[in-house]
Amino acid sequence: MSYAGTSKGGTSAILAAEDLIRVERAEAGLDSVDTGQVRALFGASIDRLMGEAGLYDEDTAAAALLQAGGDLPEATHLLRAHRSTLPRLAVSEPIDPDQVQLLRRVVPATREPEGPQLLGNTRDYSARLLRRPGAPDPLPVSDQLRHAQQEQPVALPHPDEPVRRFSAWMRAQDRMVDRVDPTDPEPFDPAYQPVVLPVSRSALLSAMAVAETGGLINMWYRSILGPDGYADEDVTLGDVRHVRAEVRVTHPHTGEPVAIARIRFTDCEAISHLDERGEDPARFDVGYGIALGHNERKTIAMATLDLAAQRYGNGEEGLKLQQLLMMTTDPLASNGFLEHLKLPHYVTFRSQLDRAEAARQEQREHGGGTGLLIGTTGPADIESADTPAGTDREGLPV
Amino acid sequence: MNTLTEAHPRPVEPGAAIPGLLDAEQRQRMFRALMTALAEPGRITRLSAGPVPNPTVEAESPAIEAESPAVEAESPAVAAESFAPVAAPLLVLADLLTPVAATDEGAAADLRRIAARTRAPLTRLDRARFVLAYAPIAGTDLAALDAGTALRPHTASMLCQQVEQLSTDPATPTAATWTLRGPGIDGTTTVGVTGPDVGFVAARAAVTADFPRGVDMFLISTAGDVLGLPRTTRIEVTR
Repeated sequence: MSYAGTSKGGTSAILAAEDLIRVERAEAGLDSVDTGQVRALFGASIDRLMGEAGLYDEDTAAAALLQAGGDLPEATHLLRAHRSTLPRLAVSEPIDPDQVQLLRRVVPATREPEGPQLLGNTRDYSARLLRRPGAPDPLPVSDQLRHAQQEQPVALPHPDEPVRRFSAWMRAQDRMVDRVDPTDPEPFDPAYQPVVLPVSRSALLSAMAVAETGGLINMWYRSILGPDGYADEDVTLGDVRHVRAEVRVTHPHTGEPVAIARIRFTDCEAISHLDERGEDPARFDVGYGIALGHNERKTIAMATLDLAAQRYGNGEEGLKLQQLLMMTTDPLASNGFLEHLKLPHYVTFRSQLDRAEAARQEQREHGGGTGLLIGTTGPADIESADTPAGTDREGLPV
Repeated sequence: MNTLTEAHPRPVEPGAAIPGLLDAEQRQRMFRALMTALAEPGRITRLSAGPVPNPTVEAESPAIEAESPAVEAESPAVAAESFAPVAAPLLVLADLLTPVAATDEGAAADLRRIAARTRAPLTRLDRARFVLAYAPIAGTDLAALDAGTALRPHTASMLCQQVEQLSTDPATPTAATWTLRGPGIDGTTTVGVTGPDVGFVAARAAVTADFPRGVDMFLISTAGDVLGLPRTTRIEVTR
């Protein structure tokens, strides 16, 4: 398969580059690595990857991560391309994010929410001491410490009912702004419809759900310490959850909902007291973040930015935020556009050199002057200049 | 259960049938062949799905089989189901979000099975993304197909027209000879075609006159040869 537009030897150079990778992989024994191992060892990377690619399949994500050599944007590209080849067979029933199996659930806003503070398998509280594989624990937990803390089982008042979200409890206390849209509009999917601002909340949530994790966090942080100022620094988190849920579709023969898969996702709610921006100081507002797999950082940033977008609405600042969220957060678009700069830009740059030379000529003719271009410069001006054929003034080949 | 020969007015040539269940490699291979056909109009390639997939694939969906006894009885036949090569673009490309339609009764019968397999919704001719035609399509039907809009030309329909024979070999006798020119063709190229009726080329020219709007087509013979005709290809009937 030839690469259009390369000069002589370009194709063979590309093939040689691909061979280098192939040889490196073979020497490292990569083709015999089991994707199950990758899933077990790099679960966080795989979860982040599934969320950014918008495709939930751990084995496929593991294969992409291996093929990309650990390069996450590259792996995202592989997965999104793969996703585009898959036939779309059904649209699932909407998933109720409360009808889930809790794997982890913490509520920073209050010590005793309804339901458990369930830490799950988190490293959040661990000391960041580097420990090489096989080395003993540098900070072992003493027996005294272990035996002193007796776990009390959490007694749920209604074990059969889903744990109520903290924001739902707040809403029941009539402390929340009412954001329900009674028209129940169809969700906007940026994958199928071109984006024209202003957009609905579902469009912003859809875009942020597959946004690049680092990019979204940076956008959140700019709002806190940078000049943007959209997000509220005083946000408090409600539920932060890592859950497992069933995906149901309508059975083609029976017409009944049937569970066809179980997925894990993370969701998070960010709560803000509306006391600083001329809003109702008796109330709070809540933003929602969600990502496939286990990715708390992304959902926290997303929830805060969702809240900010709701509060700014469709005013001038709101439109700026919408543009940032809809147009600049996609991993494929941002990394792709960045990397396209590595493709040959020979003609582009050549024409810039020509225009710069014409501008210099203009400056000389007008005795130095302000250096401002008067009228247009282009090939006609260059042709009339006094230069030897075959080279330009800098001696660069024409 | 319809057998292959009952559903078609023209029998499919032996070995040309496309299985209803395609694995990933087969889908990719056929996609590549179809894309190449559109990228290089006039280059005729033979579609082949390769070996028929292992019928044990039906064992991967035990939940569905257990739900409904009717489905269970159908499974072996479903696994062995196959289609004429003209259905290949639909089997590979059609899905829940691409409505499909047929222009004649023979095509309509098979289209119901294709729609069940791909989950593509059945719709009217003028709303379909993929249109299946066994008999030569009538000029009025061709004119009715969705040609997209200037802003969204990619939403136009794709016609899959079955023909009797396609050939690039001048020695092979065919009913007509077409000279093609346009993007993807170096100068001109010539193809022999048996199947479309006399008014087809003119009707197609009318539908493709308003670029970027237009209808793209695959002409696919019963033997599995594919001629891709994107809307930009100009056809001149030279014999």
